[in-house]
Amino acid sequence: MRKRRKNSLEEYKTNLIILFIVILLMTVNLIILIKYLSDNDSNQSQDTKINIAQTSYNTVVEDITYEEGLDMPEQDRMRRYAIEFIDNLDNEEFAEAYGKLNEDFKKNFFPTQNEFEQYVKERIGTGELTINFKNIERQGNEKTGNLYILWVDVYDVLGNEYVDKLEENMTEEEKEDDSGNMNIVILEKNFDDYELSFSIR
Amino acid sequence: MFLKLRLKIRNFFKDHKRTIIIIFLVWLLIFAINFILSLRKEEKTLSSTFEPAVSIVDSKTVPEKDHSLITDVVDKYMNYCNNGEYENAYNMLSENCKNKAFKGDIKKFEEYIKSIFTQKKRYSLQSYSNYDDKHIYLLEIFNDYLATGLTGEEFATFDEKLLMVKEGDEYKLNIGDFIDVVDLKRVVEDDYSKIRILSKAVFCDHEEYLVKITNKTDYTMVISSVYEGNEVILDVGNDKRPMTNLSTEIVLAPGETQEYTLNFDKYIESKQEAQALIFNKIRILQSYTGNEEDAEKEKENAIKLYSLTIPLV
Repeated sequence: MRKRRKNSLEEYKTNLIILFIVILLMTVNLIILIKYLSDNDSNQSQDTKINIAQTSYNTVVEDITYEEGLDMPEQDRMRRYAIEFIDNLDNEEFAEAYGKLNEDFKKNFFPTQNEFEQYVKERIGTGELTINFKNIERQGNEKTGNLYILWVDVYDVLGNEYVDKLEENMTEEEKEDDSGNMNIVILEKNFDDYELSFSIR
Repeated sequence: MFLKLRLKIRNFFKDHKRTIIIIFLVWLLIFAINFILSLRKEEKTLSSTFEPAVSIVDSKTVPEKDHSLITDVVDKYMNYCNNGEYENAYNMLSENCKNKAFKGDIKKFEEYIKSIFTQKKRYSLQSYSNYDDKHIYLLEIFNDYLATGLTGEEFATFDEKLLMVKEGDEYKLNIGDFIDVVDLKRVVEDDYSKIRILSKAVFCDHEEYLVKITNKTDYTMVISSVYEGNEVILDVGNDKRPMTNLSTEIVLAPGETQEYTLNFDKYIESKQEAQALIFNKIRILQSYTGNEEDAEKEKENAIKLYSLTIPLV
């Protein structure tokens, strides 16, 4: 009787140990699986960070995929759009540049592409234009989209600022107040999908 | 050698077949869920540091449902204002806001909107802070710079705070820095006066206390003249703040009852609660001319000079 009870107790203990081992193995298995999946995720985000670093500053206008563009910091995207626009002017790609302008801005200042072309040639110039970024301000909401206001300096190959072209038309006070800025206002709808306007001198 | 152990393992699996199968199925289910989740790709959006639902002051996030609702309501309101539909815009305001911020007068609201919407405007909306579980938003209104490119103008915004409240089944707005009305119902009475603090209107930068004062005497009661300072004070802990509407003269004829609105500086971000309203220089006078030159003489002949503190908490 006592022996049977002893056997039963031993059997119970063994069962308990085996059950414990099985559960332990399953838990380890699960932990390894979760770790593997999360490692995959963190690898992906590290790749993204590399892309962000690559798309900063000088490489901001390099060809990148739509996915890479979505990950680009917003200030880099704005620099990219502004550089693209100034490049269009520089290369006399007026139709493309005109197509980027906001419709209301066109109505206000350049109802026809010819007027825009004439303005750019006379006031901004083409050929080796350089853009220098000073400040970016974001305004907007989720309904009508984000509006970015850029303060930039635009120079030509000789280092003449955009406003210098108009100096003869400016008062002394305006010359003193003006730091040679051009404002570029951009409404971004999606990556590489935007409309813009700029300050007229 | 391992026969005993092998037998035990076999018996174990035999005895616990059902449990093991259930555990295995659960494990398989967890594995499958994990696998499916890992395959599901999140829809990517443009990277941005713009977090309109995160409050500037305390970094608390407005629940998505509330944020989405207020975004819709504000957009509708802004469209009405831009299109000059003043009545529709006015009807989007809460009754308290209409009464406290615009004295219940649509003309005052129209003037206010016309002074801001001098041309087509755009706006920014950002969660600002929280007040009594209500989400205060910062509304920045600015010219349509996209249509002008900032030609011939400087970048500037008109800022105001707003919040959304529920009136019946409808969502309404409190605009113009108006936040809320709080019923206070504090009453203090003595032989000379009965002062009831009925309510306070909370604005972003000040509070307006609505008080009803009864002069129980047969003499003139002066609580606030226009030429003396510190006559009515708001006790805000360590700080004692004088009434800011200095041109309000609180003078009651014998037996008269009057309502007054008393304004005090107090910013919504301040965590200090108003402790008491102090009527510092109550004068029961035999005669009152309202002239500063006669004030001292009138006080010398006063029936009673005293102060009264009404706790607010």
